[in-house]
Amino acid sequence: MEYVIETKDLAREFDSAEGVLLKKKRKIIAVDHVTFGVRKGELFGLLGPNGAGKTTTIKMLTTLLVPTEGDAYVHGWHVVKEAQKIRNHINVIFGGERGLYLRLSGKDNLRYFSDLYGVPATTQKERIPELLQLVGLAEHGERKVETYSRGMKQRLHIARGLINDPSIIFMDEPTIGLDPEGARSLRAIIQGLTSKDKTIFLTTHYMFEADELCTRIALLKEGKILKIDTPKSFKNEVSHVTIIEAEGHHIPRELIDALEARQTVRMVTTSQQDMNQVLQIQTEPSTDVVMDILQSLHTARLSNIHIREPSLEDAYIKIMQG
Amino acid sequence: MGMRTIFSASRQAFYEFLARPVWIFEMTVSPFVFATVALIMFRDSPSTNSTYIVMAGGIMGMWGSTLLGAGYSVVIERYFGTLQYLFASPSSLEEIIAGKALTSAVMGLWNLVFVFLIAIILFGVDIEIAHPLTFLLALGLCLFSFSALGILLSTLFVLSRSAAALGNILEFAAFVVCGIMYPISFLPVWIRPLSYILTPTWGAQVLRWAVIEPQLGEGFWIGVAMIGILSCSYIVIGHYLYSRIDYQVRVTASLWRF
Ligand SMILES: Nc1ncnc2c1ncn2[C@@H]1O[C@H](COP(=O)(O)OP(=O)(O)OP(=O)(O)O)[C@@H](O)[C@H]1O
Ligand SMILES: [Mg+2]
Repeated sequence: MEYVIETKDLAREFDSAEGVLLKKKRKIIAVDHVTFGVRKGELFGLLGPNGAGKTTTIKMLTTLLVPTEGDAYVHGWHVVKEAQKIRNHINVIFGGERGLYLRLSGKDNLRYFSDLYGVPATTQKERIPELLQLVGLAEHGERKVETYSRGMKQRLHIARGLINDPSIIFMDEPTIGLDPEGARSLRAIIQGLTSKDKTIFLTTHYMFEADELCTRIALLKEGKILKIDTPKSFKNEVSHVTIIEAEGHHIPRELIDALEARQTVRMVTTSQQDMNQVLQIQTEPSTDVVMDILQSLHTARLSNIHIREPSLEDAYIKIMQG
Repeated sequence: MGMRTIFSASRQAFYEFLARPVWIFEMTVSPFVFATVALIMFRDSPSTNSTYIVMAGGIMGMWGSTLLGAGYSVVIERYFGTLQYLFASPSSLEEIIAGKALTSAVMGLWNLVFVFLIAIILFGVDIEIAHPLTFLLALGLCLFSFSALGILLSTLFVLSRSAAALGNILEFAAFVVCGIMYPISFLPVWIRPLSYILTPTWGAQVLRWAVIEPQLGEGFWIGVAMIGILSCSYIVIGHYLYSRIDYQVRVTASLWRF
């Protein structure tokens, strides 16, 4: 099948000057020769830690940054040589609430951007109310954006991103900083877009979000792609383990050592959560082994012990550390 | 696109202007200050024509407004994160800025009118314009050339975020360098070439002829010709720079930092 987004050895470096007076130039490789393709109608997720190069990749694909090496094509058009053609057919949303005219109404914001995208006036008359309806702002279209909550602004951005009826939408962390309910309603909107035959290219730091939305996921680390696959296959990476979690005030070192010494245990990690330490054990999914471990956790007086199946997040952590 | 982008950007700039809580203040107090300063500074100088002084105050306001609209608006759009979305759209940044420049030039004209009103009503200045029709035409020419210069200068603001600091300097430097308040002959010789390539210099000269001189002489026509030639050069150079900028900002990523 045809790819609507395609990259070949795409790379981007930045110069960074350090120091104030005696500037030392250093090269940062933000995206390091990545090659991938996205098919029409896909909801493609790009995941990776801070600074992995996700935003930089999006900027190159949306014609806002010129690659230092390699090529990228959107709808078969080259992102540098045919940028103008691409811009008419795509749109981009950078996460967060910036990028709106705060003193104007939501409607006026949409009207201005539809002008800039050359949307005919008659189409605007229908499309703007439709989009406001879609993102749940139908009643607030006349209000100044500065009176909007953060979630409302981010939903207005989605409407802005749809103003030219793009066939591909790029979204950089669209749900960042939203409360759980706001994030969920935004996810529902995003999900709804794919049924309208749109291709969505999304980045996020929320694993369950990627799991819920994406048809395929690419994992990016230090500018390189580690793996591209469906969320299901990602989870298969860790399907042969069971995860046991427990909490305690001070988890004894000896307990961790003893757990790690077991043949059947794959990985033991601890993390701090509020006042408590959280212990996570990845182990073979056999009942005997699990019961045995539970017993020792119980003896060590740990609380909140529970067993769960591995999630996308576990796969993510495994691949990142692997 | 083209004209449509210019029109929408100029309407947008007008809405934004009206949405500013201080717009009434800006449109009344600021010209008032210009008029007062101009009249008080030159009150006791017998050789200077008071209509010209009032007009000079108005020109100062007009220039400030145009520069603000074309140049400084880029800084503001960068700050609010809208610049990247403008850039991502298929409309050209140059046309967007041109639209903004147009609106602010018209606002600037209002500034000038208001300075005149204040001078007449509050200070009782007798306004005498030797060639009223020529004066209006010259004013139109100034508006056009200020906008052209504003677009040219806006390239600086797009390319560099340090240019923000330049805005204020440019606004006031023009009053000195362009001989709006004092004749250029007061300036050191090495600055004069700069005066000659800036249209506010010629604008001030042309308006002075139209206001003061009984007969329009050679100096007037040289001024008109210079404004025409320079303004067209600004537009051509600005257009060239914008065609380069579109690529350059994508190479340097300067649009993303602020
Ligand atoms: N304009 C720039 N100038 C210099 N370096 C930059 C610039 N933009 C990004 N970088 C660097 O490139 C690398 C990748 O940044 P990028 O923003 O693409 O990461 P990201 O995956 O989006 O991270 P995050 O999850 O934090 O948003 C980082 O090391 C960053 O410091
Ligand atoms: Mg990012």
